[in-house]
Amino acid sequence: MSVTSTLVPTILGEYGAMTRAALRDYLPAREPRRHLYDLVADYPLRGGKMMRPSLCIAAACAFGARPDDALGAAVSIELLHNALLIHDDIEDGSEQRRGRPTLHLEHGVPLALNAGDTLALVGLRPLFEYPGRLGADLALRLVQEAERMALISAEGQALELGWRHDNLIDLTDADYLRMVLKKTCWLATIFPLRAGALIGSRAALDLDAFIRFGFFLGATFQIQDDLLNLVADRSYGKERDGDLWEGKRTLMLIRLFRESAPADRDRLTAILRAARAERTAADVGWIRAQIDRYDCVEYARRYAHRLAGAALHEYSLAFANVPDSRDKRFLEEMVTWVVERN
Amino acid sequence: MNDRPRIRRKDPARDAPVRDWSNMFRGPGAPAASSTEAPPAPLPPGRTAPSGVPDASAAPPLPSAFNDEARIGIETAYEVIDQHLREGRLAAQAQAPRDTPGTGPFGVAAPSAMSISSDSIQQVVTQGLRFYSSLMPLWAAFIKSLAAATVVPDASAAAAAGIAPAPLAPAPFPRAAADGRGPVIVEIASTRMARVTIDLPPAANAPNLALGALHPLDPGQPPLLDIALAFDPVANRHVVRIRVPDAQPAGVYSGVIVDRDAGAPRGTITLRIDG
Repeated sequence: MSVTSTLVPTILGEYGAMTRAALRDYLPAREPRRHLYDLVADYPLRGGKMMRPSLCIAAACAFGARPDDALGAAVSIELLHNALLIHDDIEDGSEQRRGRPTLHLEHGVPLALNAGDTLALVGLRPLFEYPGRLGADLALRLVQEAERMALISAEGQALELGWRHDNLIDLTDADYLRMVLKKTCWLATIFPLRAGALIGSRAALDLDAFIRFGFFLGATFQIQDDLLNLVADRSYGKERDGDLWEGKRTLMLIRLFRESAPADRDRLTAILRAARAERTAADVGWIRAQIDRYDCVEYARRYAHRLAGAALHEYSLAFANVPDSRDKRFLEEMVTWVVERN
Repeated sequence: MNDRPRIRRKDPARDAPVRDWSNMFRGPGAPAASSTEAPPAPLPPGRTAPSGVPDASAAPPLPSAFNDEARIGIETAYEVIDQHLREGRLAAQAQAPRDTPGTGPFGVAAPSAMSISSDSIQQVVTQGLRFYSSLMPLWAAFIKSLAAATVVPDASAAAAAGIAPAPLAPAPFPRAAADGRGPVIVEIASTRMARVTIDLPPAANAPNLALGALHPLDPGQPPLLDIALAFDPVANRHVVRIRVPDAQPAGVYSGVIVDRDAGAPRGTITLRIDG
């Protein structure tokens, strides 16, 4: 396995372009544009890595489907992802998304919320075309999978928002992984892999193996994302140290609280109790320095590497006896890519 | 010749390789694992390392604290996902009594069933409306297309309407099954030379095997769809039937043989079509 994959960016570009072209057909091009459909189209047209739709198409192709068979599911995944991003940005008070101001900062919370709701409904449309393409059973399974993903993602978001609401910091790594499994992994990796495997195998596979592989891949992805928020340059596309401003419970923050001296814990608790608008640059700078002092970045990096190892193990089980193909190799190399990306 | 006494050092404390997952991410020439780098990540009991994972035995031994950190980290992660799967199964079981026994939450038949009866369509429609009545406009479109999908493609129809199976090329499965059911029979209808290789371990020769499309190695080519795998109780063998359309590009195609009962891939089939 190569350390730096060239296949991953190639396939992300290829399947990403396919998905981007197809999703335009689902974005309503009618009135009211100014206060609804222009906003609905905003995030999907800003670009992005297209990891989720690419995972779906690749998983389907690895099991023998054509890319076209999985394109509808891929478009649905990308649109649903963008719908949730709009809501996440409001809930987290985020300021930047893909290098530009977040939707609610540009248009206000009410219009952004409405656009997010609309985009979630628009995101279901591609799934409703599957009965004619692949049969009614499989189409309904896809809708069920989408519903399950949406509910679990909401549960994960509630976990994290609840921690912040109650200013809970004394959390364990298991708490963090449980939250990431629900909030991130189901939408980012598990649902795309399961949808792809469903389509590729015509619903003949037990999909539990893809929950395991998707969990380890998705958790690795999320920890790396949290790390990039602290150390990445401007190309990252999000606000530097934005997670600290927002008080997100990352693996680094949880370790910091665990390892801190009592006085430092008290100070950390007080800073995180304050609303984002009341937090100062000095507060955030102090937390950032403490993260370095307690080696939290390296700790999280090591953790991500370990999860990546487990992801490779689960990959080998989920794709055992599957013929070698470009798509299969892409899925394997994704594990390395998520920890190497910047 | 040097008269100084030969220096003898003690044997190293470690007498077994340190297999370190994290070393696979270290670039060529990068330093080996140190106390500040990724420690080994042992798999939980009963789990084996996949093939192809680099052996990181060259890494020096790490302090036990880091070994513990790695072990605990992975064990924690596996506990989280195992618990999640258990909860998912319990939720599915709790949901089942509200629907038809043995079916999913919408009363949809088992996933392996690719055909659908008019009764089950009615059930799907009714329950779908009940669950998602708030999404009426979208569901109306869905159900409309659902109704249009009741005609299930018949694999034999293409054969009846198309080319006669001229050069039949039986290619018996080279290995006999351990349970005495015998090898797989391959029937190919093709106007061109075609060779089939089946990799199906005898132990995997389950009665309910299935096969989807054969996928080309060249992603730009169309898959080969006219293929079927069925168990012939008379012959007590599995029979793979493949019809190669004249327009099918030459090349190598492969597919996964799935055990429908276990829901797991069991083997592969490869078809080479000459130009």
